[in-house]
Amino acid sequence: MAGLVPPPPTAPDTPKQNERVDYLNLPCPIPYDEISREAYMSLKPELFEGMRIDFTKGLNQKFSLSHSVTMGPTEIPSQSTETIKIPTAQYEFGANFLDPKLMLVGRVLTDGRLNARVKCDLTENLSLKANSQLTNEPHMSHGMASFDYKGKDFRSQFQLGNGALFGANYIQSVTPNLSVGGEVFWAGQHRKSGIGYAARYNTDKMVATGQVASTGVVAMSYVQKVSDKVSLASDFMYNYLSRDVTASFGYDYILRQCRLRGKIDSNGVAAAFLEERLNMGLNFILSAEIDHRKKDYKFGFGLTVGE
Amino acid sequence: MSLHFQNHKDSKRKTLTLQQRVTTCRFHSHLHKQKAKAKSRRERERATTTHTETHTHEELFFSLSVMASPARKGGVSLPERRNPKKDDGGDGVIARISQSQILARGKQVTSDAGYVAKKLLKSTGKAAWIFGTTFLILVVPLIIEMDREQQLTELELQQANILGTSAGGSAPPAK
Repeated sequence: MAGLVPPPPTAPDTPKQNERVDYLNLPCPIPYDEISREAYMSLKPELFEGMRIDFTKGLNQKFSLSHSVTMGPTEIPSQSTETIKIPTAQYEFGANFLDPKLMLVGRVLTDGRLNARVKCDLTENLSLKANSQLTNEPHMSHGMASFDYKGKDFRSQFQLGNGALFGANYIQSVTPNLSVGGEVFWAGQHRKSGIGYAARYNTDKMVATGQVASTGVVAMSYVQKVSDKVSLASDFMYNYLSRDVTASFGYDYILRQCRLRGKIDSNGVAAAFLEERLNMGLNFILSAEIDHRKKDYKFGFGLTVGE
Repeated sequence: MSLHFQNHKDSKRKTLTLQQRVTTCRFHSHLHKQKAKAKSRRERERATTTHTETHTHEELFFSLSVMASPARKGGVSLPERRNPKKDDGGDGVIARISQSQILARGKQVTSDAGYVAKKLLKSTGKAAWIFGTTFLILVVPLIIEMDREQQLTELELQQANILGTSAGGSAPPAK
């Protein structure tokens, strides 16, 4: 035991050496569209009103069918400040095919709408994503396709949409923690074009993103992982053309039996979303949204059966 | 107003009596008119009450003085003597006026305070409602879930203890 030599003092130097070397070995950044996905996951849960039951049945390892019933009031966009709600009920049938290289998802609704999504890895670095929504009403169908190229420490994407919509974006890792990117888009139908920049800084404990666009939107978000179960998120959005400011603050508790997300907004909106695991493969969901300013209260409950 | 009456009185007496009667009559009718008109406005009511009070006091006083004046004719001193009395009476009247002003002011203050208190109560109620419902939505599910999580961990800890002790208990005899 006495023959042990104390550890060499060069051990603390190796991280610094690692930092220096890593500029050639930066990690691949998060795709531009998902640059603030942690904040979106925490702050924008799928709130709904009424009842929702989803049933997913797997027929195969790769193939599954899904049935979904939703009943409840649906908001109709109206010109006046009052919200008009009409009770609707709909059934949605869907099929999913999941493969490591190919993903196909399709959904059909009772009012004749069809959603389809395709994600295909053409080569190791190039992938194609497409989604489309077809409706019975004329001129309301739209589709979008995008080609993503993933480089060593950058990603680039080119998007095509119907109605002469073109977009391109590029994001690059600058340091192991920081990545910056930009995007341009052109909408032929509305004769609008825009340019935007985004940056994302993340460590193990926190993620901070910022986005500026020529459409007048400045958005910043910050997510802090307080522990492995709890994370807090905050978001700030400012539109300097329409003078619209929104700040929101939320929490995300991922416990063993449930996942609870709550958020409060500067528009006077408080919302909560709870997914509780009752049994294996059986989830109970509760959603609540209170808008104090418009005096609009939405509560929903539902069940998700299947994996 | 009281000074006005004094001047009337000192200048002409005979005609004053008539005049004064006329004026008192006028003031009577004036009083009645004012009372009828001013029910809608608070300040007017207050003013009229003060005015009516002064008027009633003054008209009483002057009716008395009118009746008594022929007896008290003569001498310059009498009016002067009357002045202290009048001043006393005037003081009494002034005191009554000031008192009534204070009373009026007190009434105004209390009504304003009541208005402010009502508004404060309403806004406190609104704030309490908003805070209460937001608390219900955001915090109560969190407390419930954290409690359940704690119960689950306690249960697991207990089970682990039992398993641990049973394994420890069974291992030495096996060895």
